Order: sequence, then structure tokens, then C-alpha cells
Amino acid sequence: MSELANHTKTARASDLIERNDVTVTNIAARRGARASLDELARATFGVSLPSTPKAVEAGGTLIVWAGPDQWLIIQKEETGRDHYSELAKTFNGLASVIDVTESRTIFRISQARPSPVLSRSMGIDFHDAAFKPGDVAITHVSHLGVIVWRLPDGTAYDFACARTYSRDFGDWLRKAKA
Amino acid sequence: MTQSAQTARLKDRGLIDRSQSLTFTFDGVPYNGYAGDTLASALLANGVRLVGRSFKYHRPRGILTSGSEEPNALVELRSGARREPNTKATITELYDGLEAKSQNRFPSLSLDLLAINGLVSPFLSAGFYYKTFMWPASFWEKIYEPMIRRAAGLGRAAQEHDPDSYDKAFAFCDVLVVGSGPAGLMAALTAARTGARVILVDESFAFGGRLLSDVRTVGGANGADWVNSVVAELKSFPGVQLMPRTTVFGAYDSGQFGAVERVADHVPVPAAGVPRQRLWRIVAKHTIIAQGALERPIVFGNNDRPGVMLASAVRTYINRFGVKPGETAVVFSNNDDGASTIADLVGAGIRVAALVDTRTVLQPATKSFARKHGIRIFEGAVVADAIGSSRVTGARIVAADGTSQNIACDLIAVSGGFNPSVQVSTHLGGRAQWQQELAAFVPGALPKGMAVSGSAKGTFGLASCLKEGAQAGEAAAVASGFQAKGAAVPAADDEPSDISAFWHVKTAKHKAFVDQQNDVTAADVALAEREGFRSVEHLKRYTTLGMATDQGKTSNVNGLAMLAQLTGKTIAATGATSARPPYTPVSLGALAGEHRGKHFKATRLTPSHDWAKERGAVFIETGMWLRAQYYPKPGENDWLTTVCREVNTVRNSVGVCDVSTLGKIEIHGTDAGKFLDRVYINMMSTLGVGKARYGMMLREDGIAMDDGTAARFADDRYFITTTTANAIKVLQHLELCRQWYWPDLDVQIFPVSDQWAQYSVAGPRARDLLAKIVDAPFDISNAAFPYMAVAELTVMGGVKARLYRLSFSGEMAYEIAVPARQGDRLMRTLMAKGEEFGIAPYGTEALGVMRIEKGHVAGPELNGTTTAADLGLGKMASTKKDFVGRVLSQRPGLTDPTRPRVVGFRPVDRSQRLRGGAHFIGKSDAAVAQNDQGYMTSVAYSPSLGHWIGLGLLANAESRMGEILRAYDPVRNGDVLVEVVPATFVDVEGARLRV
Amino acid sequence: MRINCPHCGLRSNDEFSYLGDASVVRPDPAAPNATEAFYAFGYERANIAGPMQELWYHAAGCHAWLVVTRDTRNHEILDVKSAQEVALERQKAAGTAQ
Ligand SMILES: [Zn+2]
Repeated sequence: MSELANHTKTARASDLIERNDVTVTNIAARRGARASLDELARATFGVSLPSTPKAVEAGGTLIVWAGPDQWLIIQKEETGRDHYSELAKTFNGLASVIDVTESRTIFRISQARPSPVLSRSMGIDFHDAAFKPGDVAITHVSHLGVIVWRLPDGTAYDFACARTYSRDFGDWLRKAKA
Repeated sequence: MTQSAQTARLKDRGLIDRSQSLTFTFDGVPYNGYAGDTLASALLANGVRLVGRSFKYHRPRGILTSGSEEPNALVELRSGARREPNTKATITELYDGLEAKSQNRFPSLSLDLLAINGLVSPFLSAGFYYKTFMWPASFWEKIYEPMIRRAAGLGRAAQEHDPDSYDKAFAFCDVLVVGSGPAGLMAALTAARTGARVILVDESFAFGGRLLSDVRTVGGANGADWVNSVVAELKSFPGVQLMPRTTVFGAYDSGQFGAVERVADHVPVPAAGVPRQRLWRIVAKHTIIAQGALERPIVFGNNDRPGVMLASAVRTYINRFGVKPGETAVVFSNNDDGASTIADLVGAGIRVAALVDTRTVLQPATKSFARKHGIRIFEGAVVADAIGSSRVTGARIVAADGTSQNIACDLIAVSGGFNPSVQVSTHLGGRAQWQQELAAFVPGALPKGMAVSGSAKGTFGLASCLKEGAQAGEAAAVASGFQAKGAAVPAADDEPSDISAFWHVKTAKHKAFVDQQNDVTAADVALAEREGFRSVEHLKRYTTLGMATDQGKTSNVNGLAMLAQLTGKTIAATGATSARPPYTPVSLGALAGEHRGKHFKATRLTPSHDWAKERGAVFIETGMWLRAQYYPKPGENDWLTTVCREVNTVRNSVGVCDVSTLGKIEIHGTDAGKFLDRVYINMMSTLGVGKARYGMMLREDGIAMDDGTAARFADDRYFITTTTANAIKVLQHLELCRQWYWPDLDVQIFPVSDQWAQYSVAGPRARDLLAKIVDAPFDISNAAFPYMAVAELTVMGGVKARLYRLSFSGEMAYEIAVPARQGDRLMRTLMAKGEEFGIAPYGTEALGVMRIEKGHVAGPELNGTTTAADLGLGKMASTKKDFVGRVLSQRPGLTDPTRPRVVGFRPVDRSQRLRGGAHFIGKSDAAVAQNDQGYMTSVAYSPSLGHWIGLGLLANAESRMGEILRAYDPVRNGDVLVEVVPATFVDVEGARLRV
Repeated sequence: MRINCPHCGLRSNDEFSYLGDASVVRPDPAAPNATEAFYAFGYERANIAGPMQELWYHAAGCHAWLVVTRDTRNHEILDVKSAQEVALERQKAAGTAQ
């Protein structure tokens, strides 16, 4: 029941959790500003913005490729900090920046390797060698859109689905992680 | 009940597990079998030969084959909700408690009253559907069809809901191997040894193919043992996925294959959480089809009698299942398979009365073997007819000299040669090619990434199959980027496979069946040819040859060879029909997977859905969404009472409606204004920061696509809304405009529909209510925040929010948006703070009533046929710029002043109800199509006016104010006089919006 | 079919939606023959048997529009390009950036 409402601690005694402790900011390069944006990103995060479907970790911030010249910046929520406003200020003029924290529900399956059930559950080849740590795919399952990434440290898979679909998606995922 | 002994079970052979005895019933009679049996082998072990009645003539039928090509041994499996008709006994894995019934018999299998069909058979010949039941037409539904359905048919489907679950799954591999006979096993093994990811699929529950059915030596070991060693090695590779009980039923583009895995068909009830079947989509870089070849019968008289069996099936029952398919056999062949069969029959202690071969000279070794075992040899001879009715009692043999004699037997093993299984390799359009020396069709041009190996390709010798499989496996792995490891091919012999094509015994006295499942006889083929159906495609459709659930696996080639003989053409010139998926039938349950019942489609829920549910809302499905339609209060017994109360509350005080389902899109970038000017008919670049404007988009053909509002939060930051229904379509359109039409513009587009929970707060007390939740110092006064103003602010003590002063109801109204997870809290807060004003939540019904009262167009008017002008919004279109749809909206057809336009209607007799969809006809005109003037698009009972009102599209609308028309609705017997009125019914001046 | 999205990689065709012929270009709305040109743009299509350039949208993926060269006779995908890149090149060649 938790996927739609405001709730904080949903960690369950299970390897499937809903992540409610992060802010998600979507940035998209302004036309012609890709190179200077990347320079600024390197100065800010210490890493380049991935130009292919990859997720990179930078001091607690996860940068997830989200389409051509677009990224999701995923940061741990901190009291008193407005990550979105900080990023909007930082990238002003080089990127369009919007807060999409509420747009998706992010589920995490903590599996170092995909279970056989997860492996066969999506139109993405989850084989260990085909979908490596740090890989990202934007796709759909059972008509539900999803962005899936494997954490760069290889400890888990995150699934971000549209929030208004998240009950159906959660049902599906609970089945798929078995 | 006592169980009959397995009288036909052989003591010393078979791959069954005699330590696991299984009990099953057939037509209520209990029998025993063993693990490793099929239903067919277990029935034969118990001496059961008669298993069904045929489709049209209700002829007794037995078991012809040992595989999925079986045309006759179709049974109803299980009972109740799990009853499954037309299940092939030959591939049904025996399990303890299996229940099977014969089908298409009345009242019982042995006494079938409808066998009379056999006597009236002249009426059921080729094309009978087209000829016999043509006249009179009224007889079709009442007499002919029910009669045919009763008399001809197969099993009965379960009537209850299927209690089992079905699953869909994906698999990816470098090399997919379909079939696990000698070629398939070698292909899989060789590819796996290179490190490639390999999937090996076989439709049986055991791997090995013909190596389980024939007595062969591979690499010095017995064939079945060699199979076990290969399977064990395959299991040791982490990259290998073994899929028994799985049928690849279709090849699709780009290396994709459809397969059905029978996960739990071999147990009575699937275990908890286990699906009955799983539908696989397999994506393979390379595929090796090694499905082997299927033996075909020879067409002779009474060749459908129980006891006539394919020679290879006879060997399968003996060697794999340890079953005697008969006591005394006659073997009839046109190829060397006959010789192999007599050897296995003799080995199993079955008496062989005769070997009848159409070829004039047999191998000396065959002849000496026959002499040694007292087997009579007939060279250049045929079995013309089987003797016996419910089972074979003899064979009428016509020798080379034309003399005829009967020989007693209860088994006729027949081989007309082998058809390579070319179906899957030709699914993508490659035509199978006829090879005269093999007397077989072999695969034609193959799709990219596919190879065919072994007897599926027409390579019939065991040694050759092993070698070819190894080569194909290695080639596929190398092409996938792996290093060849050098394939060691185990030693084996090639068996003799000489053949001389022979199809049809013309000296037969009895009905000779070509297609046994559809009861198509040699006479039907001849009749079709005489009547001019001389192409294979016509033959197939006229006679239904090959159109049964077996897809003609044992009949197609015979049928077309017979047609070729009749027309005097070669088989190559006659051609073959195309094979299409599925290779074997696929259950609808597997295709549907989880998408049934409430899982048929995904459901979208708004952030305050749970609150609405608690409140007792009645929900309606709109697209994927579940939306609150109205909120009945205790004591309100009909929806109209509730909706009227909701409307009145909004018009008199304040109401709140969840509009989170609106499509929401952020448009950013320095060219955002310029971009929106090009996609909306009106100007958006001139919109001031902090303001919103209503806008309309057209399709490029000039027809209205969608409407909504655009709000500007900064020079380079717009936020637009779309209708709920068109959110995805509009986004796709905007992306096309951005990427393809004007790629140089600096525009970024973000769909944010799910980010915001959005509520319409409407009514004269709306501002009073919102004043209670906006955080200081935001000034919500009319002067500071007038009609069409927008702002970013915080509410409820620090919650980020956006406020839009927009109205769809005609009242002073706002839309307030908060981050989705705050939606539930905002709704509860508004309801609590609004209590003093008598606030009511309202649903989509009241929303609809109020928009009709205000004459706002919505989905029923934006219906893909209307222009902006038709909708009364023509003046919105800017003449100072181009926009999508502008040029074609100027076409004469779309600017015709007589086009139907949106206008209002009210009943002349105010007590009468209006109906959407009613057509307008002149007051004194007849209700015929020529007098059609347009139609009613939206209607509502207006609580504000106390009568029904409507919007509709009417020709020449402007000049017809006050005219009285008929609103004619023949479907619901509606014929109401209506008056044409302006489309705005409430607050015509729009004064309430701006207070 | 599987389409190799230049951004996402090989994906099944159920992730994409189809628009049509990519060889027709939105005409200049200010040209004197704009009505005829738009009519042709909207309605006139060749029925190609063979390789055809088509617009596909990666709806369930990265939202990129793609120019896909597909052989209509056998669904073989011969080439996939980013539609935006193709459009930019087209503008550059014509000198018509707006
Ligand atoms: Zn993509």
C-alpha cells in the first residue's frame, strides 16, 4: 500500500525495498552545451556525465543516463538541503533542471547476480556478462515503463517506474524477484 | 477397482522407469503405466488400440505416430475446469492420476451412433461446406450448423475459468539449438564447449530424439547412454540452458523465437506458484534447427484403422517404451526403414508376417534376414487395404503381378519415407525445395543467423547427422565471437536410406485417407482436382487437407504429391503450402500469460486514490486510470442525486476534484516560447511570466489534436497540460517536432505527469479555502493573483506547490499541484479546512456536467473529425505565425462554412431527457440519412438549470439559433424536439471567473 | 523485429512505435506552393518493396525518434540513425536552420 502515499521507512525484512530517502533531479543539456556541461559536471561531481546507458557513482551521488543528453542525479535526502535548487543553480544556462523525485518509485532488489526469475522476466538480457554493474536500460515490462540500473558496485538492481503505476509494478517485481 | 495388467509390455527393453508405477484412467477405466511413458505408450502397453473417433465420419481411430504429428490419438485430458481437449496422447507425459477421455464419440467409443456419417459420406466430401449447405440460407443457422457441430468436431473445452496460471519469459543466447537428436546434441555440445551461451530445446520430456527410439551405437556406447553422457556434460556448463518439454513454435524476425514450455502439464495440478505453461521469447544470435524428420504414411485403403502405425513409431514403442504395438506385423514401405523395422520387431519377439515393399529389388541382407525369420517378402508390391474395422485383422496385399491375397496381422507398420521438419526454418518466408533423390522437401533460403542440421535438412545417416551437428554448433559459436575448440565427432554408422517415391495405392478398395485428422480421402483430392482446384493452396482450402490441429504433418506432402500425379506436373512444379507459426498448437492461456482478469492491463492510481476509496468513491476506468466518478453520501441512492449535489456545492460554495490524471509536460530552453508557437495555434511566446493561457494543438492535417493550458514560470520555463487521454500522444508529437522538424531549437521536454498531484478547487469559496493553506507571505487576493495567474509557492507549512488560477467549471477556481507523495495529505487538508464551507469532493461526472454547462469542448468534441473552427475556437488561431496544421487547416473542405460546428441544445419540453449520439433532423423531415444535420456529442442533466442540456455538431450552426430540430436516436427510441441555443448555459459573460 | 537504437542498443519492436516514411520532409510553410506541398507531405506515399527509410519512436525507451532503414520485404533492418542527427545534417546541407 505504500507506493503512493508519503512514507519514510519501508525497508522490509526482504531483499526488495522501496527507496524513499533520495531526491531525483533530471538534467538535460541545453542545445550545444553538452561539452561545457560535462566540464562543469566533472568539476562538480568529479566524473563525466555518461554518454551511453551507464550509471556512475560520485561521492554518494548516482548519475544515471536517462536518454540522449539527459541524466537523473540521485542523491540521498538530507534535512535542510534542497538538492534540486542547488543543481538548478549550478547548471543554470547549461542544462534544464527539474525535480522528478516524485515522478517515479524506485525499487531496489539486492542481488549481486540476477536470480533465474529476474533473468527471464524482462526483455533485457540480464546475464551477468551482458548487463554489467553500472549498466542502465530504459524499457518496459508488462506494459509498464521502467528504468533499470545495476549499481556500479554490483550489489543491487534498481527499478524506477512511474509512480502512478507503482502498485502494479511492485506486484510484478515481488513476483519477478523470487 | 482392479487394474488390468500391462499385457503388451516387453520385459527386457525400454527407457521407462519400472520402479515408478503410475495409475491413470482412460474413459473411466483404470490402468497402470510407468514413469517415462506417454499416454499413448501406456495405452498400448495395456492393449488399448481404439482411442478416438474421427472428425467427420466418426471412424474408429488408434495411434498412428509417437510424436506431435499425431492426427488420431487426440483425447480430452483432465476434467472439470482443467479439461483440455484435443491433447495428443503421443506426447502426453504419463503422470499418476492422469485422467483421459476419448472424444468425438456418442454415446461411447466402441458404439458410436454417429458413425452413420460414414454411410452418408458422399455429402461430406471435398467442399461439402460450400455445396451441401448453400440453400436455403435460413437453414444455415438453425439446422446445418448445429448439426455439423454435433456430428463433426473434436473435444470439448472446459466451461469453467482456467484455475491455473501462465507465465511469460525471455531468454537470450548465442546459440539456440532446436531439437536434441544426434545433430542437435552435437551442435549444442560443440557450441557449449567454446563457452558460448547455448539454449537446447526439445519438445519431449527426454533429450535424445531418435537415439532413444532406435537401437544405435554412438562412440562405442549404446545411443541412449551416449545421450545421457552428453546431457550430463551440457549441464556442467554455466552458460547452457536445457529446456525439455518445450516446443519452439515459431521463428520471428531478427533471431526471435516463440516457445512454449509445458512446466506443469505432467502433474495433475501445478504446485503453488508454478505456472502450467510458460511462453518464452527467445532471442538468439544464431540458431540451429535440428528438429529431425517425420515419417509419412502411404495412402492405402482403410489406412486409418487402429493398428496401422508408422514404422518409426513402431520402433519407438518397442525400444523407448518397451511396448509391443501388436502381435503379428506386416511392414509396408518404399524405403530402407522397412528393413530396420523388421529387425526391431523380430528382436522384440513380435511375429512379422510379411515385408511388403514397393521397390522391385530389396537388399540381399534384408532378404536373408527375412528368410531366416520366416518373413514373406513382397517386392514391387503394396498393401492395398487394411482388413478389420475397430482394429486391424489383416492386410490385403497386391503383389507385383497383380494378384491379391490377405495375410492375417494386427499391426501394419508403414513407411512412405521421411519429411524433414522444415516448418520453423520456413516461417520467415523461405520456400522449402523438393529434392527428388531424397523424395523430400528440404529447407530453402534461410533467414540470417539460422542453420539447419541433420535430418531436418535431409541428412538421414546417423554419422552424418553427428558430424553436421558438430560443424553447425562450431560455426554458430565462432560467428558469435567464440574460439573454435575443434569438434570431436563420435564414431557411428550411417544407416541405409534408399527410397523410391511412392504415395498412393490405386488398387485400394476402401476409403484411403490422406489427412486422417480432417478425414480427407484420396477421392476428395481427386474430386478437388476434377473441379479445378489444382493449386496446392486451393486444394488445401477446398478439401481442408492439412488444416487440422496437426497442420498436415503426416498428410501435406502426400496430398500435394497426389495432386502432382493427377495434374501430370512434377512435385517441384506443384510447390508446397507455406508453414506458418505455430508449429504445434499453443494454448490461449499461454499467450495471455498473466494478462487476464484484473491484470489484463496495468492500472494507474492517482496519489490520493486511497483517500477517495475511504471516502466511498465510485471509480471509473478511463484509459489506464481509475478515477473517482462521484462520491455518494449515505442515503443517496442514485448517481444523479450525488452528481447534482456535487455540482450545486461547487456552484454555491466550494468543491475539490482530483485532476492529477492530466498530462503534464515541462518545456524548457531558450527557444521554448518559439517552439510552443509552432505547436499551438495561438501565441505562447508572448505569454507573460506568471501567466497561463488556454491553447490548442492541431494535427498536421488541420484537425484538432488536443487542448490544454500553457503556463510560464520563467523566460525559458513553460509547463503545459494535455487531456488525460492524449498525454502520451502529445508527448510523442512534441518530441517529433523537437527532434525531426526543428532539431536546431534549444528545447528540452520533460514528461512530469506523475510528479504532481493536482486538484481543482472550484466555487465562490475557493479562495477562502486556499487562503487557509498557502504559506505566508503569498498573497492570494484577486488583485495579486487574478484569473489566469500562476505561481510557485509553498503550502501547508513548507510543501512546494504550484498554483494556477484556471477554471473548467465556470466558477472562480484554482488548480493546485503538490509533489505526488503530498497529494494524499493535501486532499485531506483541503477537506478538513473546507468543512466550514460545506466542501464536497466531486468526480468526473460533475466535472463533465459543469463543462457542458459552460460549453467547454472535451473528448466527445475533439474526436478526430473537428477543426478549431468547428469547435468554436477558430479565432484563437494566430495569423502572425506558422504552426503545425495551419496550412492544411486552410483547405476548402475544412473551411467550408456549412461544416457542422459545436452549438448548444435544450429540449423543447424541458422534462425530456437528451441522449448523446442522437442525430439532428429537420423538424418535419423524415428520419433518413439524407436529412442528417449533425449529432449530439455531449449531454448532461444541468442542476443549475433544472433540465437536460447538450452540445452537438450541427451544420450551419450559427445561423440556426432558436431553430427547433428532431434529436433522433433510433437505438434507444429517442425522438426529442430540441432547440438550438448558444453553447454556454451558465454565467454567459464569464463574470464568476474573475471575482 | 529487433531495432538497434543508437542510444539504447538492440530492442524488440514492441518498444517502438511507427510513424511512416522518413524521406518526406515538412515543407516550407511560407513557400508559394505550400498548400500543394503540404498535401503531398500529408498524403502522398510510395509503396516501397525493398529498403525504405522510416520514422520510428523509441516510445518505451529513450524517447528518441529514429530513421530506420528497413527492407519491407523481409523486415531486415539495414540501418538505424538518430532522427535529430539526420535532421540537423539535412538542415546543414540546405542551409535552412531556423
Ligand atoms: Zn532508445
